[in-house]
Amino acid sequence: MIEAFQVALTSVWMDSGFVGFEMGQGIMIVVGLVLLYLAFAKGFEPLLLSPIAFGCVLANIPANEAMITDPGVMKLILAGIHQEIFPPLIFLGVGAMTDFGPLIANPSTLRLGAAAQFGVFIALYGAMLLGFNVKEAASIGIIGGADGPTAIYLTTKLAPHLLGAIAVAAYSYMSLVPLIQPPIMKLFTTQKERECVMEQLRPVSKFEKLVFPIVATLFICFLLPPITPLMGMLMLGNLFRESGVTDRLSDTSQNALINMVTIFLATGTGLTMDAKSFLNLQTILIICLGLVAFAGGTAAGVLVGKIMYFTSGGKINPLIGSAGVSAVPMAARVSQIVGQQANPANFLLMHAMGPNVSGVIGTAVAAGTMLAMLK
Amino acid sequence: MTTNPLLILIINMAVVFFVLFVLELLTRGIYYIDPTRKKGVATPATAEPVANVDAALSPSTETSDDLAVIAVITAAIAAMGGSVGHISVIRRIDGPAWTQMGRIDALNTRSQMY
Repeated sequence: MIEAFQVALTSVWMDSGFVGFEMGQGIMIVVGLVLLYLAFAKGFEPLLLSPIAFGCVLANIPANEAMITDPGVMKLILAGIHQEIFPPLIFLGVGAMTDFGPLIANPSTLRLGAAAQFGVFIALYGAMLLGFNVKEAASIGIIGGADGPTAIYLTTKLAPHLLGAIAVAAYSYMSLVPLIQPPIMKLFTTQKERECVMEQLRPVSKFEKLVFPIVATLFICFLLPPITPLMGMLMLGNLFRESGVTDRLSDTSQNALINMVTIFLATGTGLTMDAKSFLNLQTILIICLGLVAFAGGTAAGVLVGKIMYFTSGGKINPLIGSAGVSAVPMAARVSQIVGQQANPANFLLMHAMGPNVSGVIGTAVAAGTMLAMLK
Repeated sequence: MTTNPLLILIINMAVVFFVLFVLELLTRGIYYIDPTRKKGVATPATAEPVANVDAALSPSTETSDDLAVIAVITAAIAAMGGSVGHISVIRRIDGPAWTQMGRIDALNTRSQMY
């Protein structure tokens, strides 16, 4: 009987993760715990970073390949990412939360959303110079769009082996927007430009709010069919919000559904961060290129904002250009804060929401263009 | 498919700018075909609320409490992103309107949820 007990114990021990434990897995578990600390103690995008971090810990528990390969919830979650199900569902919720009013009231801010995509292509250029192939470079560049779902959507299609590093870089930089953007905004603007007070936006009618998502969907999806799932769900969510007769659908999209999908998407992203695919030089390069993309996008947005400041006779504050990187609504808040530091009577938040939501569209368009060219 | 990074950069930026520029034109077009536009624009931006506040200030009406309520409602609408230029009148509704709305909403929601 004792012998049987010993055999059973030995079998349990030999099958345990302690036997197959590798140093790389230990490092990644520590990385996961550090990310958890940043999420909970420092408040860095806790809703996203905490499931990513815990997914990373789970992915690096030794001898658990069955968790991912056998049928079960983890496999289902990963399928939701690899089959590109979750990013469009997140966009449905984002659409239901988005007010396109400031954009419709001042459509010229769409140019700022376009300009901020420059960071995406600067990073793509840099990544190709560093030896990444064109599909990997496009996936890295999209970090500069500061739009997690689009980054995941594009990476899953073009370079799925880089998904973990790119998703972590994208969400990390999004949480660091208040630290990264202000120095760049101040570098490219004068005190006088930052003090510029913008006129109040005109009221936007319900007709405009209803027709805009329909027209935008038809035009963009006809031109760039690969991003129809993203753009279609974004605008469908927005129609739920603006129609006034689908309150329950709007409420579900922007609360329950997006929360559930965020859990799955973020946990699944963490599950892709296993030591073998994450601990390498590529990851470090991706993190660095992500910063270049983010800074480049911010600078380009502000510079085009400066051009609009001059061409409008000083009516447009260039600080709203930095909100052209998506990161809704954090980037718009940063424009507001920096504007108020220069002039306490400055209220740029609603003005910055225009380029901010056009940045969401711009990033999706950039992704669609790259998919059309490279897929 | 080209693999020249500079060419990719230029082509993609051109496409992004083109798409968003056309979207800008379409958005402006929506404004011009809006059949409800004249009604919206005809309302003066600030004249109405001032007139109403003046009316509330007038000694012949019941005074300070109503003014505070008007200020609170205006601030709440502004905080939610609404335009305070469109407040034409603030009128009390008799009866338990909020309770009734809550009941109707609960009934509608629950009957369809299950």
